[in-house]
Amino acid sequence: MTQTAPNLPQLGLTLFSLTLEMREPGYTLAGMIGHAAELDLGPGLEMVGFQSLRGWPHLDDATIDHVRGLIESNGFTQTAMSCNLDLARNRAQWMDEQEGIAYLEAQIVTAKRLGFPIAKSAIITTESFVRKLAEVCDRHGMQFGVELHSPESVDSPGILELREIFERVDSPWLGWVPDFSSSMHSIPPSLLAAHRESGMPEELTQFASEVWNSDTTMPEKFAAFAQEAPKLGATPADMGKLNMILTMHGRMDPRRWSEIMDRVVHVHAKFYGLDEHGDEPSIDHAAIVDVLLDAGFNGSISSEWEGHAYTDAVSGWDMVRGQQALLAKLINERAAARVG
Amino acid sequence: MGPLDKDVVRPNGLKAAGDKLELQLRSHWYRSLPLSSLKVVDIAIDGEPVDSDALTFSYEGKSYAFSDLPAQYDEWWYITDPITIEIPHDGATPGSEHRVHVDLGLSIPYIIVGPPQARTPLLAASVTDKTLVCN
Repeated sequence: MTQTAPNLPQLGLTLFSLTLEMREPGYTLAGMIGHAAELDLGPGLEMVGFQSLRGWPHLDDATIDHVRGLIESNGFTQTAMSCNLDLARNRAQWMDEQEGIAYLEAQIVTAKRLGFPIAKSAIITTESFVRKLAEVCDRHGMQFGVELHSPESVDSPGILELREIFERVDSPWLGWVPDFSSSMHSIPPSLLAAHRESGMPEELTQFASEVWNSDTTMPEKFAAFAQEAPKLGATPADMGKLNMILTMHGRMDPRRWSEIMDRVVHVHAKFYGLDEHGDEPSIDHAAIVDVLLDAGFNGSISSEWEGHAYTDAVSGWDMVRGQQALLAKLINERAAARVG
Repeated sequence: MGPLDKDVVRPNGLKAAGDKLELQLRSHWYRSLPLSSLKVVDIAIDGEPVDSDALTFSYEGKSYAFSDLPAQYDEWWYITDPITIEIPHDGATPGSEHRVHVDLGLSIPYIIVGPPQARTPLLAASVTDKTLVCN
């Protein structure tokens, strides 16, 4: 396993990184977890319930025992179970708060049965919802994390509101799961290449990049793009594709993570590529590791390869292994330098 | 434009079945979604659009008309499974070649987008245009 000392951030992966590999002939969860163990991609293991487990979250005891056995017999430690609040699964009548809580509680209970100490999902940002969620978590002895994900930043309105609610509710069970995608310094080369290959006019991609790079808030970027791109000939389909540049990649200074680190329960190390030196070309991993070390964080970091949204030219296995090597090096070197 | 878009219709995904074609449709989303997420399924065969209401969707032993799908929010479409869509089509035979165009729009129930007064689930679109040989 790729080890860091117990007082340091712990490495691991989310099986979401292997989204494309799950579509290959012969895929089984057992084979996937076994191969992750062979490649030493632990010690932490996260999964998306609705992705990896048929029937989620309504699993019988035999399935629970089987899956839990796969994780533990391969030497992994359960970190976080990624859940979903499918508010609009009935398109005609969305869930109300009570239904939303029940929907999440079913997933929290199954995550616990599988041995996961943390569940995570988006939630409804009201104090009444958060208070009910805190009660559920307290009843089941489970932590719950809300992701801080691109295009949000620590001071976007919805996040600020939830930060204040978290302070008022002040539950030890609730916290944040910041995602590396919120703090990128450039657009992934793999995404720009995918646009090029799909025949997107270069000037449109370039315009979207300029908007992304401007020093404005995300809502201002969306508005500027929506207003100007059609003048350059962008069709609605082009707009939809190019909007991914704005939605999937945040531009927050990683040092601002320090504002929420006291309530961070887990970290998502989203990434989109590795260069010839093993560095991530669009996310400053060293800067984020420094913030985690400054805060004394010793929870888990899940490597989360999402370049599969843009390319199948590389293996998710290789990418996770490469990012873990980068993170381990940075964590160990920078922690040692502090002691020295 | 992502790799999963290429997986929506696989090369062996079309079958001639008497007076209809059977198309195996796969999801381009990474996680299981309820069948109610199938919001847009616009199919054209050899350039001829097919009325969505003429399609029959079969999954896990049950069949649905397109208009039945919004109510199927408790039925889960697992990521590695295809849904079979029956498309009325006279004279399809094994070995015949057909151009299949699919505009798929999945209503993503947990990603709500838009301004506060017009919140709506994200519609994740995927376009397929392939020429397939019938099984």
